Amino acid sequence: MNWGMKGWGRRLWAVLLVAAVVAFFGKGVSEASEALPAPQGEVILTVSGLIGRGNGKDAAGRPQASFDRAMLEAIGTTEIVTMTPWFPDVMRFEGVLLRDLLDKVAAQGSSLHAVAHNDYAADIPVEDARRFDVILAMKANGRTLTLRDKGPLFIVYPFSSDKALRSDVMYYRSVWQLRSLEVR
Amino acid sequence: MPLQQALASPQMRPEGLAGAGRRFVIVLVATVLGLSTVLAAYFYVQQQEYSRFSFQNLVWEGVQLRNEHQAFRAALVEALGDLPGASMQEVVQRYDILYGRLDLLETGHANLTYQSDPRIRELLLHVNTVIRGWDKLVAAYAAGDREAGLRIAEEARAMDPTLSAFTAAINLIGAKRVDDARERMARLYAALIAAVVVICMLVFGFAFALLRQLKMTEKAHLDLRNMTVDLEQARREAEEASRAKSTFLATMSHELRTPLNAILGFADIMRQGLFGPVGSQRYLDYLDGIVKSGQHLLSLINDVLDMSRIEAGRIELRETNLDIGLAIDQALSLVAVTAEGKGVTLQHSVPPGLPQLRADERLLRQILLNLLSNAIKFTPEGGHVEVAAATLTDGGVAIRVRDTGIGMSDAQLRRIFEPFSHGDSLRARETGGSGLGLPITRRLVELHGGQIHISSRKSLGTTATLVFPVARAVTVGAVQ
Repeated sequence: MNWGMKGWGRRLWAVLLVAAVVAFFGKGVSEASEALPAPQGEVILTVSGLIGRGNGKDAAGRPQASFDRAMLEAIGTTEIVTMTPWFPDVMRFEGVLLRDLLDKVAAQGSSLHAVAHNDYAADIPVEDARRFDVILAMKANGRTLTLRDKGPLFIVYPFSSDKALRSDVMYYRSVWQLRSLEVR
Repeated sequence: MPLQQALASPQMRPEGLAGAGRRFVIVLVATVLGLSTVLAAYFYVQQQEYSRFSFQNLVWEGVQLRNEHQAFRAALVEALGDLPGASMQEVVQRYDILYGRLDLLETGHANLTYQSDPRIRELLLHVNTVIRGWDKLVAAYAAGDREAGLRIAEEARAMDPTLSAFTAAINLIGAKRVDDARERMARLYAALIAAVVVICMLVFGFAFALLRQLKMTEKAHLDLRNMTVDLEQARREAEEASRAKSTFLATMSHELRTPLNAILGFADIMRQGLFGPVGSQRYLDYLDGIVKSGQHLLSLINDVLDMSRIEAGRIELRETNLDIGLAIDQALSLVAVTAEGKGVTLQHSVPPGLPQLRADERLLRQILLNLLSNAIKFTPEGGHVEVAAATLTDGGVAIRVRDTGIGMSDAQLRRIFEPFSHGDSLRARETGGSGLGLPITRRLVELHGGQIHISSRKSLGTTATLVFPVARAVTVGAVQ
């Protein structure tokens, strides 16, 4: 009995050791280059171009990251309360910080080519995401954005926080009905 | 003559010049300030106006509405025609996007502009009503109702000219806005240029005035220098003339005295009968007359000589430290006989411990004698003349000669120091004298740095006070 117990104990130790090693290296691998999980729900954003991590390939065979709503929300959300030229009142936007998203896909470029569902496109300097709390808004005043109200994703700058942001160029970069980002 | 011109010229008056200059500067500064303020305000207003206006927003929103409409229509028609790649989902998505545009037109900043134009408002209302009306039809079409799709397609085609008119109308507004802005800028520039021109003119005017003033100052300076030179020349000439006159008088007086002394000497010898008696008593009387007149003439000549010496600056002080009491005693002893002959009492009061006076002994005696002889001369029998000396609080010394004589009126007193003037002409005849006594006395006192004050009351007497400054007082015992 005693011996038997010992035998079980040894086996348990061995299993734990293997599990720890696997967990250790596995974690290391996932930190460095492990692919993003595949989206489970409807894809609402694709990020392509100069990115280090993705969960698929684009037409040219380069890495591409597709996100569904849950994946974006998992990155963590931030709130911006600001006035905009498109709404009569101050709005409370909620969404993913653009720089967090760029970090998530290990983006390396200096510019983002944002394309909307209506084929509107604008180029956004990556520096904007670093300097300002630019978000990909998914909710406005607590309501999930749909195509009819500039959703599903709406690039929002914290206009009210900085006078430099209240310019036509910044408004031009505020792409709504965002569909994809290409890192250049 | 430049001097007269300079004085007569009205621009040369410095107060007038300064006043005009000050006024000009005030006008200049006020104008520049006023213009700057107006311009700054104008620019500010324009800038506010401009920053509110966004051409891009205004026209872009309209054009995008039309684009979305066309995209929706294309997707719908493709789906109805079962074209490859067409999908029901695409139709719904395009409708959602188009629908989203409607909200933007109603809530965005461009909305205010649209609402301000009645035609655009009308078009927008129509577009809104029709497109929002498709909501149910799209849902029905997505559910399989092809008829609904066809109806939308028909309405969408009919909508095209409306949207065309809408974009044209907002483009017109935008163009007008741009035109307005351009015109405003043009006005702004015109105002700016005008302001610059005005300021330039003012600055030029200022510079011109400044130059003129500089030139005038230079000219005034030159004139002043010339004038100074002229004045200096005139002064030198006048002094020269005065000195020549004094020299002439001094020489003449001296020359006059020689024959006069001969006359007086011979007359005296004759009166004393040195070489035998004079025959007639009448001749003796005449001789008396000659001696009296001669002595009078001699004293006149002496006065003139003194005066001209003083005027010519020929008198030099031979200063010694004098005992004031002694000087007064000596002077009194010289006039004692005259006073006694007239029945005038002489008194003096000199306190002990008086400082010595640094002065020319002969001149001080002459000063005292002049004052004393005047006092005796104008004091009737039974009166008295008093000499007193005192130390002043500031350390100076005062000597006072007071008589109980006939005194003078204020009018007489005022003219007393003028050369050749007497109290009045009647008195001159009565008393005789050159009328130079007091003027000479005053000059002599002034040569010592002192002052003479004379006060008098008609028939109550006259007081003459000499005041010597502290620099002239030498405390007894002090080493000089």
